[in-house]
This record gives sequence, C-alpha cells and structure tokens, in this order.
Amino acid sequence: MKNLTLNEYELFSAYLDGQLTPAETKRLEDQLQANLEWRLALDELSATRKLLRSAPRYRAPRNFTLTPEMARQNARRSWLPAFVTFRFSTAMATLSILAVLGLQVFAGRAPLLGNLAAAPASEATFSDMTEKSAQESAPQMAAPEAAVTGPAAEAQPPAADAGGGGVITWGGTPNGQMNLGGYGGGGAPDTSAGIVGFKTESYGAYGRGGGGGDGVGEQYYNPGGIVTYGGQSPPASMGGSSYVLPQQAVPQTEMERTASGPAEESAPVGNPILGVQSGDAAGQVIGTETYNNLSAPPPSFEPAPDRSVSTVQPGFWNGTRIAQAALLALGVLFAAAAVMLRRRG
Amino acid sequence: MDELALVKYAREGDLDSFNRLVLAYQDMAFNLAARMLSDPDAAQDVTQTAFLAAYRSLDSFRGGSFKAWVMRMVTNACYDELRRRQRRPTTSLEPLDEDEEEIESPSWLADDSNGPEEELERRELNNAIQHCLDGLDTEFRAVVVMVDLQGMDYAEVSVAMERPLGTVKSRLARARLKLRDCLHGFWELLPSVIRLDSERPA
Repeated sequence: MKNLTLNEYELFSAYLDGQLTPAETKRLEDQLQANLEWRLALDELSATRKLLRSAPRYRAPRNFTLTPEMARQNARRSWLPAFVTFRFSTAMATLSILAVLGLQVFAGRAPLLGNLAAAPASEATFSDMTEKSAQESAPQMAAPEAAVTGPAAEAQPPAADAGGGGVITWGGTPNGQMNLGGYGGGGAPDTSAGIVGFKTESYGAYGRGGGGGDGVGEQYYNPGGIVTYGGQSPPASMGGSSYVLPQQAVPQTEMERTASGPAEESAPVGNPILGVQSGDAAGQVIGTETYNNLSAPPPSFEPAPDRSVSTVQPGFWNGTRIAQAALLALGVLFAAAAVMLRRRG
Repeated sequence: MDELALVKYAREGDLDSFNRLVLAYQDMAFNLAARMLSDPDAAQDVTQTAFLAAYRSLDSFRGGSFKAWVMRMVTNACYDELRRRQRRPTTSLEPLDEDEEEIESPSWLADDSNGPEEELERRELNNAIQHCLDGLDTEFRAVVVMVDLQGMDYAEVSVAMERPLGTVKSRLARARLKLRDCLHGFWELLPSVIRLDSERPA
C-alpha cells in the first residue's frame, strides 16, 4: 500500500461515497480490475468506513428546547457577545489613539527644532546692527541675556528671538516701562521655549538664564526664558533677580544692544508685536524691529534669506503623518474584521 | 410544516417554531458534540449553548440547509470548548488505574460489565472508534463524524465547516486513512459482528 498516494486515497474515498462522476467512476473501476494493490487498499478503506458507520449514534439525553426565560435572557445578553467580539478591536483602537497622540507630541517638537535653523540668521541680523546699537549708548545691564530695563525702556527682547515654541503675551497700558527677564528652562539655546510677556505692572528685569548654554548664541535664544515687557517705570536698577550668567563672555557690543532707549519711544512704536507678520516669524521679527526703533525710523526689515521657518518645516505627509495614517487604517481594518466575525456568528 | 417557514416564524419571535426545529435536530447535535468532545456532560452544555447561539443568530441564516447551519453552530461551540480545554486542561479523559496513572490503550477498553457478549463487543467497538477519533485533529474529526457517523453529505459538511467541497473530500480521505491505521491496533478486539476479517488484508 505504500505505493499509493493521498490523491488515490481521496479518489477511493469519494468513490465509496458515490461522489465521483460516471466517467471518473468508470476509469477507477477499470484500474481496480487491473491492480490488486488498489483493490486491497479500497477494501481496507471500505471496511474502515463500514466500521465507522456502524458506530452507535447517541440520542439526546434531554430536550434542548429553549424556555421563554432562556430566550429573554438570551435577548438581554445579546450585547455581551458583541462586546466580547469588539473587545479586541477596541483595544487596538485605543492603542492606535495612544500611538497617534504620542506621535503628535513628537511631531509638535519638529517645528520647534526646525526653527533652530533660523538661529544663525538671527545672530547675523543682530550682528549687523550692533554698531547702531552701540551708538545709542544705553546703559549696560547686568543681565546679559535679556534683562534690560530703565528709563529708556525700549529694548529688544532677545528671548523673543528664540523662535518657535515661545508664548507671547502682552497687555495693560503701555507707559514706557519695560521689564525684561529670562527664566531659562535650562539646556542649550536651541531648546528655547520661552514665554514673552508684555506687562504694565511688572518691575525689575529678570534674567535667569537656563545655563548650560554654549556661548554667544544664548543671548538671542534665551532658552525657555520668560521675557516680560512692562509699562511702568521701573526702579533704576534691574530687578533683584537678575543674574549674571556665564554667557557674559558675550561681546560687549551685543551687551549694549540690549540697552534701553528713551521711554517715549517704547509704547507707540516699540510694541514689538506690531511687527509680527506671522506666527512663524514671531520670535524673530520682534527683536529686530524693536531694536531699530531705538535710533531711527524703523527701516524695512529684510529677513535673512535662510531664516524662513517655513522652509524647515516638514510637509504634511511626513513620516509621522504616514505613521498616523497607517495606524488609522489598521484600526479601521480591525474594526471591519470584528464586524465580519460578529456577523458570521 | 416547512422547515424554512419555521425559521421565518422563529425569526419573528415565535419560540415554539424554533423549538420544533430544536427537537428535529437535537439528537444529531448532541451526537456530534459527544463525538467531538468525548464527554457526554460537556456535550450537553455545548448543545444547549449551540441552540441558544442559533436562536440569537437566526438573522444570519441565509437559506439553504438549516441542518447544515445548525451543525455549524454545534461545531463552532465544540471548537470553543476544545480551545477552552487547551487553555485550562482539567482531568484526562483516559481512565485511571489503581495508582491513578493513565491506562494505555487498548487495555483501557476493558469493560467489566456483565452484559451479553454482543453488547460488550459493541461497547468495545464504540470505545475503539471514539479513542481513534480523539486522536484526530479537530477538523478531521469533525468531517469524519459528520459524514460517517451522522450520514451528512459533502455539501452539508462544506456548509457546516465553512470549507470548500474539495477540502472536505481531502480531509475526509485523510481522516479515514488515519482511522484505518488506528483501528488496526484494535483489530483483535473488534467484534465479529463487523465481519471485517474477510476484507482485512492477509
């Protein structure tokens, strides 16, 4: 019997059940007459089939009819199997949502990081204006990062140049008073997520550098700093919480650039927000325009060619978006599969 | 009354119509479950569960053979029970000797009942068949039980198992081959009523 294949046994099995066509039956019977081994194999299979069909059939030991209570209970609980069926798809959808949210958080950092490309350009802009700033001969402030305050409250907000991620607020009555402060969030300058506030009641200048910076750049990219623009006349000195940070190695010209100008210049034209054209340029334009107001009518600001933030922002279909779309498609797929399984009972 | 008409009334909420269908197929359903599970108590639970599931899923019946559709419910319920057993194995179906160790086949077929000899032979035959069925994979077992022990045709089994006709044919042939080999080990114990000696190869 070892020479017989499974296909031949399938043929025998179907033959015994009468499942072959007349032509197949005729062909098989011809081969059976000529082949003893096939006949023996067929006899064995037939005996097995006969044996199985002789097995007793069990009768139900009781009736399995449904009572009205069972039917009602069945109807009440009919949601439960559906719940079980959808449990898997629900779990997958939850995981997908968490993954999407997680990716969204990471994606939120992308523009912030992208703005870093604008940093060198900002430095260049300020460097170009350094001479003009020095001619203003404003008093030097103790806080090299951002803290500038005085009768001439018109100072550029260095932290505002930090670019993306910053929160800018302003309010109150501008009366020429400005407090500048920078509460550094720590870390390198390229992690800036500063908060810039325009206030009227604040006193003193706060310049708390984040520390850990790597040099000159921090003066412009006050990392995580809070810059407040106040309207009231401040004390002559800076706020008590001004700090001199290691970034004092910054060149003197840059320090001077943070000096204040005449107070009367500050409110009407010194509101740096007015110069902001778009959210992308917010952190960059403020400082430049304000600074220009110190000495002369505001010149038209020419942004550096390479400081366009939009050029560094990723397109809509970046890797994160594709991953989100893939997860969404996966969730829909699982939901559809769950529905199909449910319908198949 | 026509079977499809009973299904229609049952869909409309007539429980009596559904119970008439239950009475028509409960023996077949229980036999399938008992052969699949080799446990009469579990077979009762599974049969009841299958009919409850059938009542709940009447809307999914698309016509055709209601018997095949009900057997699908029973088969699926058996699969669920077998999967549950695999996750949480309990006691062995094999009998235990005095030392509570499993008795190897075929000696476990020994039955000390004092019935007539023919009854004993039938019992041994049934035990041998069930033992060999238990050794088959689940789907092979379902096919051969439905075809050879229940007398269903290939088309009905195809519907009940949700498998193509060719798959049913193939699995039935393989199952029969495996059973042939298994039953050879019990050949000396097989009762004379089967009259297989003449068909047995020398």
